[in-house]
Amino acid sequence: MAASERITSRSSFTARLSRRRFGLLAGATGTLATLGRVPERRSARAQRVSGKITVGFEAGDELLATLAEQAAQAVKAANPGVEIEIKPGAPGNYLTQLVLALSSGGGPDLFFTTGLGIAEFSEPGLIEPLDAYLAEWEDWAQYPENVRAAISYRDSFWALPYAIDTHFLYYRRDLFEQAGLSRDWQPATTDEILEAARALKELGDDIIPYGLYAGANGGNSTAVRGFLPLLHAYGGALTDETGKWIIESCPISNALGYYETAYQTDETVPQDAMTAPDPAGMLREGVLAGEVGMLYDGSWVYGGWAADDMETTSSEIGFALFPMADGGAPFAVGGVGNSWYINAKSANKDLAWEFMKAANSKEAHVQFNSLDPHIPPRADAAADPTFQSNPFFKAMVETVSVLVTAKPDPAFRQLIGVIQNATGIVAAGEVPADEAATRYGDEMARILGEENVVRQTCP
Amino acid sequence: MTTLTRDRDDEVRRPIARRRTTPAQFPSWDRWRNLQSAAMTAPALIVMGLFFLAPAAWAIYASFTDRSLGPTYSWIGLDNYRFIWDNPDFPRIVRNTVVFVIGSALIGQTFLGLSLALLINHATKRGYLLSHLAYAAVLVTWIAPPAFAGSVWGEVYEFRHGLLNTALGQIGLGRIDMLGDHPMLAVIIADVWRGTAFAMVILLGALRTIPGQVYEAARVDGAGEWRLFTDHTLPMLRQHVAIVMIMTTLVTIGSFMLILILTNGSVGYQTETLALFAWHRAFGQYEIGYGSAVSVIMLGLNLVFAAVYLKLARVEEQ
Repeated sequence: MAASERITSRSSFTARLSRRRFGLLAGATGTLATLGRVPERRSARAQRVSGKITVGFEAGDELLATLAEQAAQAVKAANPGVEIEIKPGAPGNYLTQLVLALSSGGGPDLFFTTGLGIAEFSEPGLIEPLDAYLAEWEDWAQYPENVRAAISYRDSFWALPYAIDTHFLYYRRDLFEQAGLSRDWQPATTDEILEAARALKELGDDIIPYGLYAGANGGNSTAVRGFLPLLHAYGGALTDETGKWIIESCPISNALGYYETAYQTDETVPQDAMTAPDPAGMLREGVLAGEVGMLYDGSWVYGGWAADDMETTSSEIGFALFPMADGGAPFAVGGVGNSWYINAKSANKDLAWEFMKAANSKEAHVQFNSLDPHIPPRADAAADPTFQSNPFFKAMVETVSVLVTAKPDPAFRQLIGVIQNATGIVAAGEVPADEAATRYGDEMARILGEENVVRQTCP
Repeated sequence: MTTLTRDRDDEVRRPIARRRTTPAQFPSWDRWRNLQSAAMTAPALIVMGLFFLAPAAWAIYASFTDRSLGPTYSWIGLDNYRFIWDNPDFPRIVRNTVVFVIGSALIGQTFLGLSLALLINHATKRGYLLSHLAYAAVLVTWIAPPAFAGSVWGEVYEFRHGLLNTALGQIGLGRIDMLGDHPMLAVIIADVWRGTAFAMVILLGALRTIPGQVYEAARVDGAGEWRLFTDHTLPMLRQHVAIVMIMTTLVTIGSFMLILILTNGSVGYQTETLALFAWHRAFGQYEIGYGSAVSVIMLGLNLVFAAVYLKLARVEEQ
């Protein structure tokens, strides 16, 4: 459903496709039996768990439902008598429902939702810090420093992600070839993306040369897969060294100028690419169908394509890192994806932690991150031979070394709204890029307060 | 026959017979009547208080705070209203709301609802079986949840593979980008499709209460069909039309789910209405105080619309 796609990082399209592969692989390997394995040496705390918990997540993702069910079975087997009720929430507005429930002291004991919650939920005390549990968990050693930093906020750890998001600039090799471009492509600069889009435009109106997320209709993708990679490519950052938010800078203006070029000057992103009821779904399906030339999107999207049509995906869909504007080393944007949280008001946090551990075993990370391609947060899972088995998995895991992430911050969601507004009005041709940049700065200053922002004059 | 008398100089005259026959002289009976009245109205008052007055009061209070997620927040006075006033997109959002309400509630739902009611009433009187089918078909759209309606119309409007452009292609016509070039028209059509049934049901019911003798007498006086409609049908429906206009306006101002699904406000705010703006701020960005301020403005707009309609209806009545 479109609304759920706007909230979660994993699309229903991807989930639907992944399920097919999941069933085949699960049956073939039988590895699910080991999913959620509980370590033999359990702590004294774990020995005492009893009672009941509820586990919540957005309905409609059968892969996640399977993970939850398997983890529940593992915990029940290791702790006879405990009750685990899995209660998927209605899709569409799950996050809103969850936030309302948490704010009123309700909600499930344990839940799985966006990684943005690390700062958003911890700031008002809606979730439980995991430090005490992690200190006793021997598998915590498998989480590298950059992952720990990504789930850390105010000197505590608040969530366990089962996946780290990473992105690629996908392109159709066959369309590139028809447009006179190389089938093996790695743009050296952002201008080369625009040049390729102009060449693809010559192929006719039936082809969408370039999918560049913009406006509110692009959902979180507008910020994460549209604006933020451009901001970094132009040498920008969200905050300065003192932690203040940069609300006015050359990179912000340049990123919005890039939108203006793509949407208005070159018209390489057709209007309907962003006005469709579900732009992400439309563009993703369009890449597989050979109707979209380029799209910057998540690694899990490639998994969906592969599950649906492995031959076309492996032969015709190329993947490249995002270039710097000045030709510097290319990179990938990423960060903590959907994660598990313990409700601060839970009456049975110990049992919730047992569930969380089971859902984040090495086997679970290998299995589910290969079915729904993400970087496994655990080092032992990322080192598994599974992730060296094909060029895409190998490239995906290797992006860890060039991954650009944002620190958890409760203002990030407001930033998404401000970016949607700024990119939307530029893409629609309502205001020029410089005016949109001014609005971006004004709105961020209103939200954060002048004392928390900094302006870097752009000559 | 009732006779009138005066009990005291300053007391109005009242029917003696009535005084004699009612137990109003007995204080216990009065109290019982009062208690009875209170008991009968209490459920309605409780429901109104719980589901309308309390949330409205809470929204007004929240609009003066910087409430976000969680229990802690601060009183910031009129800041949220000032931020809204300073927002360069706000005039456009208000304009969008007015266009949406006029297009969907007034022109679309009320006018189309009246037209459908007249047609179905006409067909029913003549015993056409299709009238029942038409009635049922319109009613089904009303049952459809807004999210479903948004998805259906999204499939219709989708530029490259949607039903509309596929159909246009079949007959040799070019494609129309409804969601890109005419987004407001697109959401108005979808909302009218979903909401017209309400107006139709109310007005059809009202039409059936008009006595047939009124028309027979007018026909004897030589009135044609148009005169019957303008001189008799329309005046007798005015109260009902006013009610329909009030109800559809209130519902349409608060409607956001269909637009959220269909355009999400469009890329450059072309279909961002007040309700959707409030939702985006309150539950998209978790600026609940700001979103509440927008909803309070919506409440004010609703009251203005309702007052205007009631005034018009009263003038017509007089």
